Amino acid sequence: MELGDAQNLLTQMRRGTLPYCVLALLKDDERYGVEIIRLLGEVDSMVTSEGTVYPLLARLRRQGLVETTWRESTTGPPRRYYRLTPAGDRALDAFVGEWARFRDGVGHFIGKGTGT
Amino acid sequence: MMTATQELIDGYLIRLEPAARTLPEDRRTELLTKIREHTGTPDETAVCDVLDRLGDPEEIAREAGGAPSNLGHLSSRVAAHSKIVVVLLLLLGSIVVPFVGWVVRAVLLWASTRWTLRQADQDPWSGPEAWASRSSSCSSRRVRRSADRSLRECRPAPSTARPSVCQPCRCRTNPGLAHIT
Repeated sequence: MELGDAQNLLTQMRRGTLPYCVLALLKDDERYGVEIIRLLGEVDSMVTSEGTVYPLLARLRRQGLVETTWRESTTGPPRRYYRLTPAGDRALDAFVGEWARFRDGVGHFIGKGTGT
Repeated sequence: MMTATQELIDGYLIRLEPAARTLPEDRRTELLTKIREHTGTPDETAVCDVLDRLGDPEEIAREAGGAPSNLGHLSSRVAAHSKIVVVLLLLLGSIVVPFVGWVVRAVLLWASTRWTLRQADQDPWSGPEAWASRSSSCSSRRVRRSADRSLRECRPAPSTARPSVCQPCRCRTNPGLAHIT
């Protein structure tokens, strides 16, 4: 596999899973945009272009998976806080189950291939 | 220093705006507002890092659904229209310009100090009209040339006329902004 293909694969995997990582971040807490981006950025290779998280958040809101409220901030201008909707909660639960099955499936073959 | 910081942010937003042009109005406004809020008012050392981490404006617009293919389609349509206008100008220009040229020549000659009323008295045929008809071929060529020139000048001003465009990576490479990094 060439480097370009690997990059493309990583991009595709990230695109598929990042929305659920955002939903998972909002599972128990509501958070504001910059905070979500910071938390995603703390994990290597999850986000290469932080600006793309904003369109993602907007899309999740249009899909009814998150909702937003404006809150006053003690340190600056008001912030837009994101939280899960019941639909977002269900979508996250469904993904968590699918992801576990998928990860185990891939791990089953990759584990055999590498002899571990 | 603050000006340089703001210039970098403005430059970034200037790149994002056209890239997001194909988005619906509300989504474009929302995206631009969020990115503007995100940049906030970072200090001089932070601005390049913030913009670098935000990433390529075109990529952000693409993620928001502003497909570049739409933009390409739009610009090719504009280009097609421009070609039609140019062809029409070429066809009609030779009809319109001589008439306009005649009027311009007449006005210039009337205003000219080299041609006086006395000359007009002495030789009625040497009035502006006569001069115009005598120098017709020469002047109309001149008018046509100046018309061509004004056509060229009608082209959109080069992008350098806009505020300087900031590419986040330039923060590291542009010596003029090196003090910020």
